[in-house]
Amino acid sequence: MSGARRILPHQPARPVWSSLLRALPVFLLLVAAPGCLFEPREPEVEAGAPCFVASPAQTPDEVIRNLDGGLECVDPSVYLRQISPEFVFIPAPSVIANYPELFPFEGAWGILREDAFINALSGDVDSRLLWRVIKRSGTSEVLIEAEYRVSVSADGSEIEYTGEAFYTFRQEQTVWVLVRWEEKEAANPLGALKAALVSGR
Amino acid sequence: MEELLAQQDSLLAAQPDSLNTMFTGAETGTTALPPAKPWYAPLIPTLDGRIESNVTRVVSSVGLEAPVGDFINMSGRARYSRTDTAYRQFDRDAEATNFNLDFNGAIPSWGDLDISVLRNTSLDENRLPARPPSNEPELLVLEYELREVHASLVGNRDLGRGLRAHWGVRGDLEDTERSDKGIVNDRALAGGAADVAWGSGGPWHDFSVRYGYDRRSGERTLRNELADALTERDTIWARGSVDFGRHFTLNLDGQRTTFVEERLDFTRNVNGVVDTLGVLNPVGDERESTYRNSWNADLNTRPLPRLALSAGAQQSLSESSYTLSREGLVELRNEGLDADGVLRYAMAGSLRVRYVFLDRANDRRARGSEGFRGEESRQSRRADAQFRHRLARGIDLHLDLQQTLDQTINEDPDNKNDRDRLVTRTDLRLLADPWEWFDVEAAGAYSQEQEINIDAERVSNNQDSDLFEVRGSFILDPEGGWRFVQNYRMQIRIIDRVAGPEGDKFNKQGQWDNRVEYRFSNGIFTDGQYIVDYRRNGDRDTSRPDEEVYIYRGARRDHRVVFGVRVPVAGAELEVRTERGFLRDESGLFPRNEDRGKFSAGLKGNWQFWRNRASLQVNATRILQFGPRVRDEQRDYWVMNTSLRVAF
Repeated sequence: MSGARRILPHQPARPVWSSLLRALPVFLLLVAAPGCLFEPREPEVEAGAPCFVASPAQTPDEVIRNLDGGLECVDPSVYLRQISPEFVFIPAPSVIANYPELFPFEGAWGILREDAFINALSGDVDSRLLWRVIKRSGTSEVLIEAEYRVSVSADGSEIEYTGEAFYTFRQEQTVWVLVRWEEKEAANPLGALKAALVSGR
Repeated sequence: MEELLAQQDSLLAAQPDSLNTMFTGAETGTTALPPAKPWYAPLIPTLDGRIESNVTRVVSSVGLEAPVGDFINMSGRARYSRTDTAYRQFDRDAEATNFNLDFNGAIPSWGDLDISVLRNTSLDENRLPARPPSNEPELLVLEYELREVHASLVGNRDLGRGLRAHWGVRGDLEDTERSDKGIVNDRALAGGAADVAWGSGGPWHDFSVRYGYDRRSGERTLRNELADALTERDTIWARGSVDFGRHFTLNLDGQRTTFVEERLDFTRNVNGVVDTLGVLNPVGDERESTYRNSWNADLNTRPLPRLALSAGAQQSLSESSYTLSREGLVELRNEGLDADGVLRYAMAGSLRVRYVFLDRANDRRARGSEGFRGEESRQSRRADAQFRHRLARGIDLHLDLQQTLDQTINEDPDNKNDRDRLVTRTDLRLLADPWEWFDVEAAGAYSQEQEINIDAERVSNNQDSDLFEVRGSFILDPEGGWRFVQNYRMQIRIIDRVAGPEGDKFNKQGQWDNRVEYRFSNGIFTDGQYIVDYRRNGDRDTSRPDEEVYIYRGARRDHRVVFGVRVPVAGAELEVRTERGFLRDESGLFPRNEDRGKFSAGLKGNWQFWRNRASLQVNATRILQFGPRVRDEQRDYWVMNTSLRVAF
């Protein structure tokens, strides 16, 4: 910092309580006003067996189990709850090459794109993100290298997406979440489905 | 289609941003040209070399840039670069080259001329290990080559009596060769674009109309099949503004676009998804026709000296039809509404209230189907208020209130994705800055979040969460080289599963960050930091459903200590940092005691030599790490960013 100290012009002192009193009406109005401006809809009454009930993700494997369940039931609320706000998805290089507008830089695909993906997905999904675990390391931040198999049936055709990916998990708040999902190149990587659904082309 | 829309947008964007600017002639280029040089001016190329290395990849690149000729009213530059990337985590190598030649200048009474030539190539090799069923290592290769030539001429003219004219023409040649794992997807297109505009302006108004047309045609290869390709787009755009100063200003904007594309494409399923390599989706001739209408309006007014109000509305409607895709017909609708009011009730006191509504909806009719599948809409409403008040000299009070409702609404009863999310948040902050060497902030927040799935099959995942937060910071920056910074944050979050006490959670956490710095008079800088991260989780005691009791699972404490020193040495800077971390975690099934550490030593410098025609930047650091989360490739590696630039 500079050596000279700032010399403030003389101002008549005004007690803090006097200033607070002047602002009190606006303050009270603001605190009292919001309540519930917007009213959400009433959910339906639970009937029969739910498609999938997410378990609190106490381990990285439970995060994957919930992601699989969220994908298979195409349930965005379950799927997105397993993902950190700092989430990054790095697809296979061929996906980046085919959809450059979605991946202008590393880390461009965050939770908002993942939200768009799960909301655009429809059809019958069979998801096994941990089809075969290749390697697992770390304890407080866990990295799992695994082979995945996800098939999507829609409109009479079934497409299978297979390959290998690195999943990185971290403990945030009360549960574990997925913070990074990086795909290796593959013949038909899952990133191709994600990019196709989000790009709309 | 989006690609072409973007291409034409970029053509329009290449012209002056607003019509006001466009007609001033300030960007015609005639005044911005460099001083004329003889055409035989010697080449003075510049060579750039870079090596970048980090824990995931090593990148080396070399580039050569040179002026290639200065003619009468013309100047040009050429640049070539080559980049090689080797990935450490994957068995993958990539190389890319770029060549770019640009000429620009002015043709008197015609306008600005720009000619560019581009060639980009890339080769990406991915080697996968042997695995069943072939048990052979697999090599996946991506090859890409793009060649482009563009030429454009843009001019503006003042016609007098407040009338102005603008014109632009552009020609393009594009040749793309792409091989994705052995499958050829090429494209060769030639195109042209033109746009004209007329405008009228005055002290209180500005109106303009613009028309643009873009056409490209050629050939396209998809999965080794060749066919004709065509794109055509025209846009008419009208814009007007009325400005009565503080009384009110009004901006209106309307646009209509039609777009036609004929191309080879895959048959897509009802999701619009292509099986890029399988045989399920055959190639066929696609014809896409789109029209889009959009408008927006903004109104701003200041009815009182201390009161400002603004409101805006926008809508965009589009319809796309496809002859090949199962999507058939796609309708998109985007609507928005916003209102904003600011009252400055005192010199250092204000109240701002805002409301924003957005609705993005789509509906689709599959080819061969008579009915639409039902509109899918995502609506968002947000209301917020911001209150700023000065309590005393150097002490400010900030109060923010915000409520957001996000809704996914589907007409199709089989779509189970209907859900609402309501967030209500209150933030209170006290900021004090009584002296230049002292800053302090104390803040608190309360946030309530409701996640509501509407469908009966999904309601078991509904939950409410409450967050209480207290945070603060201070900065003490006295004379004499010392600086102290402290931040703290404490949070309590309670998650309540609506279906019952099973799964209810309690989380308490706090972070405390302390930093001390000292700068010696001889330039040596040293700093130390101590960070504590404390977390404790609890589960609801389901044996007592009538009482809200949580059973702690144990605490997680993470302590981190960092020391660093930077020493200036002979025009460079030597930096050494060391860090130790101690994690004590009793929250999981098995208690964990994890120690970790990191040591780094590096040199950073910038030198010039060869009569200042060459400059070398070096930033090289060796990093050693240990601990349970450190992967093999992270235990000992170099981070290096080295750059050499030579002007011949």
